[in-house]
Amino acid sequence: MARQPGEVKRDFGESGVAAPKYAALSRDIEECKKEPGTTLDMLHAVQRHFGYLEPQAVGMVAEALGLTKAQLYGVATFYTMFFFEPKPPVIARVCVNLSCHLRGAQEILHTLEEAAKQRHDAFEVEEVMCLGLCEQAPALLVNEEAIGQVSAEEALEKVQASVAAS
Amino acid sequence: MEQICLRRIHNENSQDIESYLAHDGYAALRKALTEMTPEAVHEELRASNMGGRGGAGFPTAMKWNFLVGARGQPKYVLCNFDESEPGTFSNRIIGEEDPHLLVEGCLLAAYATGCSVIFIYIRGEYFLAYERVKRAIEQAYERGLIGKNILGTDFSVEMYLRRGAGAYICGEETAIMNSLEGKRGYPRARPPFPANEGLFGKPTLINNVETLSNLPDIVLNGGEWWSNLGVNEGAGLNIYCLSGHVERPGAYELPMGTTARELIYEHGGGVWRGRELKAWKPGGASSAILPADMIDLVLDFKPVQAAGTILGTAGVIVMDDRTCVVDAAIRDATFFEEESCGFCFPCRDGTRVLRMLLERVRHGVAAPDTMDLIEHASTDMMDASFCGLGQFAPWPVVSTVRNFRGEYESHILERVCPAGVCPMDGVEPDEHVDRRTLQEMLVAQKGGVLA
Repeated sequence: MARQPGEVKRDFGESGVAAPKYAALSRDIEECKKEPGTTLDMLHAVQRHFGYLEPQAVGMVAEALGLTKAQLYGVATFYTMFFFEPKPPVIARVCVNLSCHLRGAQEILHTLEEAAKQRHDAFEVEEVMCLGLCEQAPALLVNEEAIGQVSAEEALEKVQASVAAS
Repeated sequence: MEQICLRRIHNENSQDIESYLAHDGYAALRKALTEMTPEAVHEELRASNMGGRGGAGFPTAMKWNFLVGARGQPKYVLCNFDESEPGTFSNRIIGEEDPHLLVEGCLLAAYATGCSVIFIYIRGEYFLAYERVKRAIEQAYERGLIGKNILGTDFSVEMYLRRGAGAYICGEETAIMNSLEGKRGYPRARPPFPANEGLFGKPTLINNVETLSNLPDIVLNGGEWWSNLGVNEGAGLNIYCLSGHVERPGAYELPMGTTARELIYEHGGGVWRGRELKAWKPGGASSAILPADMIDLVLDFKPVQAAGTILGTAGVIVMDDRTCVVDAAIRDATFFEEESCGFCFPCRDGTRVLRMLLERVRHGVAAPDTMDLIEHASTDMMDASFCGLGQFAPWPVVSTVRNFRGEYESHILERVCPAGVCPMDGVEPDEHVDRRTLQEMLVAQKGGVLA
């Protein structure tokens, strides 16, 4: 039978390997629903569990909020931190704004991008806007860890260490 | 030297409530709740003459007035922790190292203005600050410093921490409300102003992290004491964020009204590697790029405004004599193009046009009238953009044209980058500034939609 607009498939893969993730997300959504203004927090929870905004999980959030998936995607696509496809385990976000640019951000970006060409399954490099780490310029985020005052080589070592640990 | 917001950050476990309590923590809250009426707290703020630290410098006590007079319940405090202005990091340091100071400041603001719910909206990239503020709120709840009948008084308040997800525009006071409501972070038309019809349609007080973090000391020591900490007619202390080509980058909490010379040379150790100063910015990406001879400027809201730009977030960025101002301007132009939310076309198209014009200058293929085009596009953006982002976005670009005209002439007319930074390779950038599109855009703004 054809699915209706806004209808969410309720089979959350109970027998599949992802089942615990959906269950954990379901608990997070229930927590978020207790407080006002938690739409972005719910989307963050999806990304925490799946590494990106996995469509079925987005459907769960939409249902919890009484929105259609299209409406929720309309919100999510405004924000640059959300991913809409699976990503490698390590994301390096390199700031390229003025304070970091003046202290060598381009070398870091170039070095990491070259390295990523060899290991695109292991990490991804993003050119991002100011991370608020300007006194530590040049700075980057390797997943959630802030790293500053590094040379291009040191930045690459940090990323590689993070890849090895992932 | 006197310190307020940064006084405790080097204490051991400064982010923990035990450490905070051991250093006057929550003493101001106790004093306010047990000895002072909300009006008395407001009166101290009035005496402090504080201008909001989020960038606009609007008198904080007056902002509070609007809220006290507003009708509707509940009333909200919304702490703007979406710090994303390039060159600015003072809020991050407070959140990471002294989160209880912020929590206490939020509680004082709520008490004084009759608010019963507090939201702190922190940008998504501040992972560590998020964890620390979250923990601080939990600890304060456990101690009965947030919640019902705080310290045995009638004052009750709830506090929630919310994360953004990567959008500079959400630091704008109406966009932040849309974002918190679970919408795209587009700005709203004003009026209605947030104080009357803000978050979820209710009266909302929106204050910056640093603004709120000064409140405990204002309550403990008095607004007049705080006000007198400034110099050159400035009120209070201000955190100047210093970055770029300087020996000692960092956050410096100094008297409001400190000159750029004192900040850069005495506190920051001067330009790095013994080089000369070429240019600097007083207040993050949104402010102008100024020449070295303006170094004696007093860094307070009014003097900087009188000099034709803004103090903004006081994110001072230093550029040495090997910097190319075109190369610097294109960084800010790229930032604004990336962060324009796309809601109104003068900003959406204008930020793109400015960046592309600069790209052509950088490659040595700019048309002779490029400086005029930059002036036109900038003026139109300032006049016609819907919110502050687009109104201030042209400043870093147009200021370099005005302050460093000779350098542009070299790039455009002689095809030479004096600093030897730009490629100047004669290669047409992949994207073209379609002259007809640009002209149409300018005509549309002048004669059409926005006339």
